[in-house]
Amino acid sequence: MPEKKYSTKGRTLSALLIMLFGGILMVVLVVSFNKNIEKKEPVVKKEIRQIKSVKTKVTPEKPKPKQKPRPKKAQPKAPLPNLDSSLAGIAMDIPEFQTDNIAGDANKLLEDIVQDTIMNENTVDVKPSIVSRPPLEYPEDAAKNGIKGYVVINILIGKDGNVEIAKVLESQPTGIFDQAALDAVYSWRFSPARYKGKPVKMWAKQKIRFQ
Amino acid sequence: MNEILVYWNQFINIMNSGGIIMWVLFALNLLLWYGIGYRYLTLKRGTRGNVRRLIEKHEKRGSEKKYSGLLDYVVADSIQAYKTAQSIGKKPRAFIYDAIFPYIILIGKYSILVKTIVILAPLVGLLGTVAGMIETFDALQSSSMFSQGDSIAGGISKALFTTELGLVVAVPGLIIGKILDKKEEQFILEFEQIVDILSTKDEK
Repeated sequence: MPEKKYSTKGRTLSALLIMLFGGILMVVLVVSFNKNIEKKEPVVKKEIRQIKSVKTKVTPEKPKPKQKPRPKKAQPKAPLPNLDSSLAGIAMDIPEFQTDNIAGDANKLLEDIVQDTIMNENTVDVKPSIVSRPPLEYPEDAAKNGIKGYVVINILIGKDGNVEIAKVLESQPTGIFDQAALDAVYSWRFSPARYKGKPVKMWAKQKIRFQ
Repeated sequence: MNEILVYWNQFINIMNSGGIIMWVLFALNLLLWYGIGYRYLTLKRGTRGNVRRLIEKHEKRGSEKKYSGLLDYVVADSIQAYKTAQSIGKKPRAFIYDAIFPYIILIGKYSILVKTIVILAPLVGLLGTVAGMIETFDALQSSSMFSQGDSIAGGISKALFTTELGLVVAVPGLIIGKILDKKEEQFILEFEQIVDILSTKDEK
């Protein structure tokens, strides 16, 4: 017999350690690969940039009229299923199903609901576009002290395009620009949002930047 | 410590978003690394010198020789077999082959496992992708009007996770596996050399 025998003792344990290393390697790789994708996701929303205009000037600069955003094409909607036709096709000598009495025409029902609902950006067919937007006033105190900031406002646009309700959602710095922004927003006019061709009320968010 | 926990949670989220296939791949990954680890530890040559010198050293020093790797044991066993064959008066070649045989088995251990997983992992990833795509189209068919865009993009990105993971498993396995295969080949050649050197010793 040879003097020493080759043994694989303890090899399993060491191999298990390397297995652990492999597992950790995979965790690190997968997470680091997918981290970058998540960072890209937040979409930057459109903002209004307000040019500083001083009240006391005799000839105030006229703000350039902003280009109207093109109304986005409405997404084609899947037609609602008509229950009548699918049920009537079965010939089994059973009297035809009448769904009219149960719920009426589904499309009409939806329209009735639409008249009174307040919608949001995602549910309307045609988004509202701005018709007139007078220039904002930069609050005097803020202008003197050179304070910059922004206000996010939630606007309820009525069927006629007027602003019915405006609420401040967020402002930075708090309180300084709120009143100025609200005063301005109430004088804006929109073309109303449309759903199936009819004007509807809609909540819209708008960020106004003072700088 | 807290950061590690956050990292781990992120990992779990990603894994769960890809479905059951992700965990299958994770298990395959662990198996693969066990195989690689075992092979790496086994395929250590120990000495750097060539085989002829190693045999001379062993014959000179006998049991005093310090064993540092697989090759030392092979040479010692071979010499033992050679001596046995000579004492009976038979040809040593077959005896030495017999002595080396367990080592040939040992250096090939888990090599098939590693190769299989390297090929299997991308295929399993692909399977996950196809399953994910089927789910996506299913959702597309029955989704309401407003959420179509979201369900398409979300489903596809979900489906592609498994392919990514399959490749993450396969690529390091392929590279390290090939290096280890090369080492194994080297060992086989050296074993042949040992057999040749010992069995032709008398003829000189």
